[in-house]
Amino acid sequence: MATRTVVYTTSNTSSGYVMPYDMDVTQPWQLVALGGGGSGASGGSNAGGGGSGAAAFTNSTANTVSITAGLTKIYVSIGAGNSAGAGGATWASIGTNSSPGTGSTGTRGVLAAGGGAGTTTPGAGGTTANSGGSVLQAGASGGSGPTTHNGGGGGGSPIVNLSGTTLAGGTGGSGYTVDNDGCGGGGGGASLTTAGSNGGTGTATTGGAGGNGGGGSGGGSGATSSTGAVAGTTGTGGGGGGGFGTSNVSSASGANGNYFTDSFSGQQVGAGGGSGGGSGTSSVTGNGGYGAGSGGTLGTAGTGGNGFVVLVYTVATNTETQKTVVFTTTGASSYTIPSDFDTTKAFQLIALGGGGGGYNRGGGGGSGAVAYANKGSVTATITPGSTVLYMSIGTGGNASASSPTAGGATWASIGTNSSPGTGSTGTRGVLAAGGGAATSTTGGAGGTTANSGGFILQAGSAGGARGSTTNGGGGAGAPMINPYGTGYAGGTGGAGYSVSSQGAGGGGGAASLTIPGSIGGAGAATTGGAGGAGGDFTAGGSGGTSGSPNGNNVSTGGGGGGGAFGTTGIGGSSGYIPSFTDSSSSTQVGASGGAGGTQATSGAGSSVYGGGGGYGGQGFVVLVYYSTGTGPVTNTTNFFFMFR
Amino acid sequence: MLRVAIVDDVTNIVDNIVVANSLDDCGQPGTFAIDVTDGPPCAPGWVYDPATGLFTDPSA
Repeated sequence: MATRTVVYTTSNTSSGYVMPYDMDVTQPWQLVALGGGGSGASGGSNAGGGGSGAAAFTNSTANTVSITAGLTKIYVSIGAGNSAGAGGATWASIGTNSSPGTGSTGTRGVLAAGGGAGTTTPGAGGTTANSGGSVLQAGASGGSGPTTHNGGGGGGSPIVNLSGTTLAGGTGGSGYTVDNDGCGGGGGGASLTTAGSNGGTGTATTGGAGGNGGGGSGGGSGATSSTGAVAGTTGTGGGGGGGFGTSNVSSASGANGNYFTDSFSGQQVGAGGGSGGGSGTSSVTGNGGYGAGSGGTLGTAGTGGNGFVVLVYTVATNTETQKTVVFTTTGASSYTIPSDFDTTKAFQLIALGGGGGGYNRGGGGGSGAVAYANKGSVTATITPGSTVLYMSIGTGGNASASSPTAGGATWASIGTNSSPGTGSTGTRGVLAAGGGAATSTTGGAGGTTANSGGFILQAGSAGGARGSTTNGGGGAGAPMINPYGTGYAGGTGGAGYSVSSQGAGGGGGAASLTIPGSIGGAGAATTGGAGGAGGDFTAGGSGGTSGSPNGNNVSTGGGGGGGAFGTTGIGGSSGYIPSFTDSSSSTQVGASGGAGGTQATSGAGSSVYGGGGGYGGQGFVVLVYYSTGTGPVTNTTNFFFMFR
Repeated sequence: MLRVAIVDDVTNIVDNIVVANSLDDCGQPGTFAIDVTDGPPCAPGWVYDPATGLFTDPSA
């Protein structure tokens, strides 16, 4: 039976994540967490390296919480690596929005302590005493800094594999005992089968080498009097090399491991390597990989690595065809649930609000919110071929030099011709608030979760603020929620430049089904801000210049439009990310980036779906369901499905 | 991606430092969230001063 891996690298303790709709809850599953890495000591003598976070594990055997696929929530808090103290703790909890607690035994989740900060002594690894789960592994300590200048390396990260086997990270290497010589290397991160190696100790001629990751390679070499320190090899969890003497004082970063791969997004995580220690007041130490500590230094310490959570489960067997229906007509409409709608299988309903309008030479519009409901949350009766899905799709706000308008809310309701309402929980549908209009000086607010309703909600983002008189802010990129119920934010709009008649801000990037959008670039003295990249990794439009004052458009992908330049330029328009495709018409929809900020008093860029303007993008509704195969043959795909 | 301090709303002690998509994703009961992506420095156990927006290390 097929398994699926879900990687969580951002927190959600508000609406939580949903246990996957395609999870077979009768089969074994595993949950693993890694705490954030601590920082090495910074700006002081005898600088110790930071410790790595602890690892925690639980599984379906230890768990006592009843799980319903697509309904039960899993709340996740990802511990951040630190540049000035201890790493944050990471926890994941099934069904209850709080940490399972220290000493817990994995009955509802896991808690992995963050690594300690280095001081004049090495930072301790995150302890099992401060963690919780059915299996625990402590983090590794940083290395010591025995002299004024020679810092210790950061600890490498541990892990617990899917069988519940503990694997330690390598400890950070210590600095050499004669001052102004070699610093310690970072410890290596564990693989899923082998512990990480310890970071090397600095010597009279070289910084300590980074410890190898559990795969047996990847540790970076230490600096010498003639060569700089080398970072751990990407994907191995190798530690970074330590700095040396007075010539190559800075250390290198530890690498992330790549031992878990998200089956949907392809994102990879794994125990990371620590960074090396630095030598002298001008050194900058590298950053730790996932969960690992950064090296200590008399200069400026890098940042420990962030933690993560991984869920692995068995996918429920399903041989039916999944269909998608896309709705884009603004205003009120209705749709009869098709006769081939399988009420026994998972379905999802997603709505995006319209984006707010921008103020010419003022703020950028906010993006609409997005709302989600599914079979787990809906209690309304559905009779295929009879029950009506009512909806109202919000329009995008208008751009104006005096009175831009807000984006309209979008809602969809099963069986009842009215909005489900704010605060509703997805029992009969969804409501996604529109993005706010900008003012002459400030960006419009994103559509809020408070003004929305559904099982899962993701707020819109704010437009950029005006910098000075003519320099408008960019519109915000639209957010999105994927069919698994995971939401991603759009990028905020970039602000205009502070001196008049120069650069306006770029639009924010749109979220994809797996990645948030990036923030729009701020306007500058010589150019408008670039649009933020979309969650599909496409670049935003470039900003206008004195020779070409209009911001540049993007017609595909989610990047926001570029900001204009000067006094007459118009902000660029944004395309959208084609995240959903209608099974019959092939119409595609997805979040759009925000428009770039504009300089002209008339004319503005636009967004397609949900992003802030200029002219804000309209909303849409998407219904995804499994077909019983008894409905009408509506396209070629269905034809072959029916008759082969 | 934001770096967010989760602060106890009674004691103003930092409970955790987390990675989040937006401040809206940090809704733990009894706490409030502060975006510290670009500083100021803080760590679990430090105390937040609402008047200054800064954090202090009680052990320093």
